Amino acid sequence: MYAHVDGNNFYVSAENVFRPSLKGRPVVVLSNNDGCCISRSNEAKALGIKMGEPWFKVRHLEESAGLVGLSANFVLYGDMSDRMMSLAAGLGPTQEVYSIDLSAPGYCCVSFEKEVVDWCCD
Amino acid sequence: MHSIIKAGQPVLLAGTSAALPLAGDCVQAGFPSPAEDFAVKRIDLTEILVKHPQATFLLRVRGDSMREAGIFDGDTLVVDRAIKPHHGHIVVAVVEGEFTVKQLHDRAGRIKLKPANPTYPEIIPRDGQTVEVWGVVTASIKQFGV
Repeated sequence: MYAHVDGNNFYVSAENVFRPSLKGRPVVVLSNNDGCCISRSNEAKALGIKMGEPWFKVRHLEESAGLVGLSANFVLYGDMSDRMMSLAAGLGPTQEVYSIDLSAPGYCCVSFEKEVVDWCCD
Repeated sequence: MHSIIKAGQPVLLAGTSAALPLAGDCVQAGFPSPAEDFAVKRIDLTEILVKHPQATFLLRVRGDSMREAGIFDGDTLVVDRAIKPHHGHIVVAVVEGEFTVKQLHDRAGRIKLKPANPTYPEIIPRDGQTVEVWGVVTASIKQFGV
């Protein structure tokens, strides 16, 4: 049996941990050079912003909808990912890390979600 | 204002410790060292200060609202997010979207955040206002300029 562990809106969630004032607001994290939206909060998704959409096409929402665009901080996301992966690793005999916010421990543990929510990401 | 913790640049915690065993890590090809029996593990500051490495963050203090608790401007706080906050704990809380460090007071279902400096007011949440405890402060690191 496999468990699939996936961080929701991972880059935005990692930013929210250290910027609580962003909670509940439409937030996107932008790719290098602030090119495209690569992570969107639920509020940003509700505004219709698509994954990979160029920033210049949505930046008018800053004024009209309070959208916040953040330059990516990959060092931070990597560190938060390491924390999440090492917690996930403790839940099963083996683990396959698929990407920065995805992993699959060998079997499932019901307490996982609560632990991660309480410990590192909100 | 409160001791506001600047959150702009989170600091990474080293994942591995720098402490090495004092002895016992080499092969002895003669008379064994009599000192080996007395070998002790070196003190690892990270191990002492950080109980839950995945859930621990370091934050720098700005302001003097916790002066009488020994927390001063510029100190580095060790904040553990895996500890359940209780009455009397020093906590990092989120008040109106900003971080603040205060002592948690939780008696008879009434929550307030108390500063450790008489010139600052207590933070008492109004009806419907929530206080979010972000993490529990387990240590404050003060470095002296030498």
